[in-house]
Amino acid sequence: MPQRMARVSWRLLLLGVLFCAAGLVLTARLAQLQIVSHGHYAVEAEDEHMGVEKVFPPRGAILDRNGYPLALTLDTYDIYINRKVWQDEKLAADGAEALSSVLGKRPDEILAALGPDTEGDALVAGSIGYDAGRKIIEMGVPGVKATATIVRFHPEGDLASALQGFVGRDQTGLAGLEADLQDQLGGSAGTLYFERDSMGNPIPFGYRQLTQSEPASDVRLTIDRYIQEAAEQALDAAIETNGASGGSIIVMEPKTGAILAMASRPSFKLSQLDLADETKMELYRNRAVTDLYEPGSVMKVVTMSTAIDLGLVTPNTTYEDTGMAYVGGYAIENWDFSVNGTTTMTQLLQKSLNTGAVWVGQQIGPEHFYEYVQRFGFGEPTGVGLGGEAAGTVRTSDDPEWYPSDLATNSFGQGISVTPLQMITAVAAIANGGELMRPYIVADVVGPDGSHETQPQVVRRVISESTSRTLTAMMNDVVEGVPSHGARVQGYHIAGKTGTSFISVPGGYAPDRVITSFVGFAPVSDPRMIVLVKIDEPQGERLGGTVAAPVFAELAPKILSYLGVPPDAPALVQQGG
Amino acid sequence: MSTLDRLISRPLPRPFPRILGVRPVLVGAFLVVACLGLLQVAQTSSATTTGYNLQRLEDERFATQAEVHQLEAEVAVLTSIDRIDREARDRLGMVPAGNTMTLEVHKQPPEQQLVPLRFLTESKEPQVETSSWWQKLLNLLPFF
Repeated sequence: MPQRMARVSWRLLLLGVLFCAAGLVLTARLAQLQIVSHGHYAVEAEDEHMGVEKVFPPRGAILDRNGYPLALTLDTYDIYINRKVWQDEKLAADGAEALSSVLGKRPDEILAALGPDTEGDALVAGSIGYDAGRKIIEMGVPGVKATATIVRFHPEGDLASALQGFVGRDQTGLAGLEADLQDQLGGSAGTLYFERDSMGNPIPFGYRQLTQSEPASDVRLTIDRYIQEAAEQALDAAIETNGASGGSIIVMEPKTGAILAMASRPSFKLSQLDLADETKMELYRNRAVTDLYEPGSVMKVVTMSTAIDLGLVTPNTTYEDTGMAYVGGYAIENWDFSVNGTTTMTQLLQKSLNTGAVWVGQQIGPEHFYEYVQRFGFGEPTGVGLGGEAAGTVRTSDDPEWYPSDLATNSFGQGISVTPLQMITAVAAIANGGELMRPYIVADVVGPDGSHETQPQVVRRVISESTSRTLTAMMNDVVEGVPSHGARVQGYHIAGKTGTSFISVPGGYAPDRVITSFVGFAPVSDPRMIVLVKIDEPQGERLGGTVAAPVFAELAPKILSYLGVPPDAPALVQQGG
Repeated sequence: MSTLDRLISRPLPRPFPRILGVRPVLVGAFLVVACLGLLQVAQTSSATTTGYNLQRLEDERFATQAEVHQLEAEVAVLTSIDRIDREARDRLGMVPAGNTMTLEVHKQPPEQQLVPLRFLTESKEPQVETSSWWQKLLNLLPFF
């Protein structure tokens, strides 16, 4: 008996040992998985079971000065299809058939959107309407996921495209005010942390943790939609009529710096945005603040303001115009090659004489001239708050590459580069009594913490009030003292100055390419609006007086009437009781 | 011996008085456990229902928000410059202004005309405070 028990025991013993060994191995593996590698697998499990989504607050609206929306946000859905689920051909065909009626696409188009990949989600329809999205969710088609998103909507169409800019698919501003005011318009995204199934869909009543988003603010601009549309229409018509390559029109309140309209061409259309086309990248900038040009004879009002403010000349001071001025070995002629003899300062502006401007510049001297040029805001950004604003180029007497001939050419607006916004801001200082105002385009920001209104800001006093009045009168004589001046407006006294400048090219200037411009304000007695018109490379007529000034004459009465500015000389209907 | 007999014959004292039997205790314990289990189920059900209601309300809020945005967009389109221009031309037969003339009339404006009643907003009459029935009753008594 004991012998039999010994034979049975070693087999059992062996089996026991094997079982123990297996048990130890399993225990060791479990210990390794659950203790040693716990952190690693816990993270993997969390990644597998938990999903994260950004929760965007509704983007703030962009409004015009009267509260009319220029850009709004609509709730939409993006429709995704899980490629793995739709590998079942019958399921895919049924699903495509079900979706086609809602999406308005053929089933084969929906299937084609899946592409060659077999994994991941495919976007078949982006930014579809809220109602259509809800319908698809309620249909419960297998493998179809609807992700809530938002899209920008522009009720005024393509109005102020370059100014407004646009957003990307992640609702981040990419250009224009949408980018410049991203913090105000975008708010702050929240985070939704949720338990999801193997398809990535949230598990109903599963774990959810929501970090609320911070609401966005609405932005009300100083832009008036009516004046903006009038400016854009006038600009488009002028470009077409003159065969021009582009241009800008800016309308501003001279006393406050509030910008009522800002139009530039060429530009893009919000309704036909194609960000994939890199050739259109250059259309996305706001040329009124980014593009530089040589202002030409409009600069003469700055030169004359300087001389009068320094007490060097008066409107009736004369100089002898021989038709030619010699500076630093260069000969400078009048634009019309005229010789005018004894000429007053007012006549100098009326006839836009380059020789006269050179003479005045020489009276001022380089030190004072460039001091006033910088006081008028040239050579530095205006601080309007628009992205890409250029500072311009002003070569002063302190620069090593400055020559005395630069003073001469700068005095009549060549050899100095400015932006359209800088030019109108400088002339606005003449119109409003001598103060350089900081131009602004955001009237107020209305957010959850209340309204923050922008106050007009005086940058500095540039010229005295007396000088301002004198120059205004002289600019009024420019328009009304010249027979059939293109900028005349019936019933209103206008002050203005034309400009025609050659476009600089490497090695000099292109003789057949010019930029024409006109800056004018009205009414002279109490300026309520100032307008800059700049038309680039017109074909045919190539003078500011014949190209840009008539645009002002067409636009100004509409603006003045809209603003409720009574004419200076209305027709009297009835007198007395 | 008799002492021993007495000791043997005397029944052993009961260690505890017999208040409850084993069966009732077991039944009571089972009931308590069942109640606890039901309580847990009820709490879970309540939490699930609340979660469902929250989800439903969130969906409703999202839907209402979307509807508000949609309505804002529709109002904006209806008041857009292009639509106003289109309606003025197509429906009202208006044309853009040609030459404009501003006239200044040196004459006193007419006296303020009465606005027809239908244009007046509903006037808010001051609410007259009405006293309660028992106050009226008390007022009848000579001493109040």
